[in-house]
Amino acid sequence: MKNNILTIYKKEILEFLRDKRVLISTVVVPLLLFPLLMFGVSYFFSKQISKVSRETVYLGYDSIVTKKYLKTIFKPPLYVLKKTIKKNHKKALDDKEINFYIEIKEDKNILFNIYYDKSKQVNEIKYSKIKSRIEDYRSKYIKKELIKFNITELLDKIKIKTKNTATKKKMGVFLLAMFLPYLLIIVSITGATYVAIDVTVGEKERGTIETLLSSPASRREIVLGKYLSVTTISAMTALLAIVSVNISMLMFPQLNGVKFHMDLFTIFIVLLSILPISMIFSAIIFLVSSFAKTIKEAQSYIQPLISLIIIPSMASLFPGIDQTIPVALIPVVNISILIKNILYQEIKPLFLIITIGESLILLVIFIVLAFRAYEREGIVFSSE
Amino acid sequence: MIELKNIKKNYYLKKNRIIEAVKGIDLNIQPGRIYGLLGPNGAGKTTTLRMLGTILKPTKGDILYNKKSIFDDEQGYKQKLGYISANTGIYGKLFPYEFVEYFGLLNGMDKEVIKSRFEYVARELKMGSILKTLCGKLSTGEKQKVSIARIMINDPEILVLDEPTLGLDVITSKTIVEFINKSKQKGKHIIMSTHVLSEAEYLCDDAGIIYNGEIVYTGSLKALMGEYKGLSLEEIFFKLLGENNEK
Repeated sequence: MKNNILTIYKKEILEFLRDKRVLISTVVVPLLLFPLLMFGVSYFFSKQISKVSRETVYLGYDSIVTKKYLKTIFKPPLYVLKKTIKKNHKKALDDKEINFYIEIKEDKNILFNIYYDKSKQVNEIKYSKIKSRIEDYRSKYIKKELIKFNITELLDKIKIKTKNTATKKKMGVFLLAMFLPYLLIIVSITGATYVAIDVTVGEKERGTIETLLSSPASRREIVLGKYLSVTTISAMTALLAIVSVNISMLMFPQLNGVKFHMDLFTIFIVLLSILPISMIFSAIIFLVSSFAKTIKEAQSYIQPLISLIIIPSMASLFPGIDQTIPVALIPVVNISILIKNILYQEIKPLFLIITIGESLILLVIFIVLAFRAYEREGIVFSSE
Repeated sequence: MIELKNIKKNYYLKKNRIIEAVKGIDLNIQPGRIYGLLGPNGAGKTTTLRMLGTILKPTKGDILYNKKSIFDDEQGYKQKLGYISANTGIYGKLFPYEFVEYFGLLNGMDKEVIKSRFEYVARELKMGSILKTLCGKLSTGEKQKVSIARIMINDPEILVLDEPTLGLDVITSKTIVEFINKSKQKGKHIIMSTHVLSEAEYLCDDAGIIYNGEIVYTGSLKALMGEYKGLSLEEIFFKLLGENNEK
């Protein structure tokens, strides 16, 4: 029995290694995606922000009072004032003739009414710039007024100062513990998806399932050989993702001022903790695909499943989810929290035992269901 | 001898719909003789062959090989079985040798034995020019040669062939026909389905004409041809189907 499982396993792995689509989705994507996500996106984001910050801001006004204040607060060339009739200010904003329309009312107080289109992200960046200039002006104004009464010391009476006591390493762990569990869960599931579909419904579509079922390999051997190959690819994808994240952190330690990378032991433990997810979801995807008649049908079953997993896999991103027994009983959430705490090196043994125990039970259930699925006659039939 | 005893096969569909694909058929497949299962599309040929390949289980009845039910020791029976389905599906990312080796290993053969046996099989099937090409890039005929090589590798006692020459060129068909004839001379049990009645006339010793899940005729092809003297097998086939329709 063992030999047949191994023969089927080896053959499936050999086919995957020769399949460019599998190599792209399981090797190239995880290796390139994270450096691109981590550094490419943040690089372009900061570049874009600095570009927007250098752009001229056009401020519309109508009254003489408003102009007086604006001239004092906003200086060219970064700020340009534009006379805009009040009733036309919406059109001027829509036509991008101005970025903001400001109306200042001066009575007992000085009220700044600022009109702008909040649906544009660039406007928010520009707004924070003009807001800080107005606040500067306000401070100076208050100070000037207080000088008259010789009580300027009141301004500095209450001060707030914060200091980050976390080391750069701790900050690195914090960032990694937030996003790594989510990333690994999604990557390992997507890694399993293509191959699980290929070894189940793919065989039906290619017409090879009959040949295999007529061989002396039992249906259980077929299920186990194929299932193990799916799990291997899924775990390999997760491992490559961990390596890729680690390399990225080693190569760009200046990112966000953090300095952290996982040692080999941590990589090994993180990989071990992602294995239950790899194994369970390989079994689920394997099971679901074996009911489909075509690859397209299988994809339509699995897509909603992946969408469902996204939210619980984000558990590590939410604050306040601790290693409690109820959390240990929620699939996916428990693994997400487990990986997070492995990185913090704060694992509670009971949480670990319940999480692993529950994962094993689920795994056995889904493998038994996969056995049953392969005993069905429908396993032979594609869309013929 | 292989005996199909009152074999029935129903497919259960949604909304309690039942398709009776095979309605209680009896067939005998003798060693050293080729049994041709003939019938129009949807008659129940593939279902019958799939049951002989243990891919499907009969709803009723039994299949005996040397007086023992094949379902009592499926794995043992499968080691004696060479099954070729109608769709010639092979693994596209494997080379022909790897494909054949895979099934050789699943049949419990040693790698060394597979290697030496493959040399003989490849020579017999004139596969020299395709050995360095991935199966996915082979033509239909070449793929069928690889499938034949697969079942030849462990020299099985039973051959179940569903449309073995379907869609093949003349030269490949000839190679396959030669293989079937050689297997017959070796005393193997052979059952094949075919649409090509002239091929059945030339190859088969016995025939079973199946229509609408029922056997219209089973027995010696020679006897059948003798009964309808002067008619070709094709004419006899249509005559039998016509008679059955009238019933």
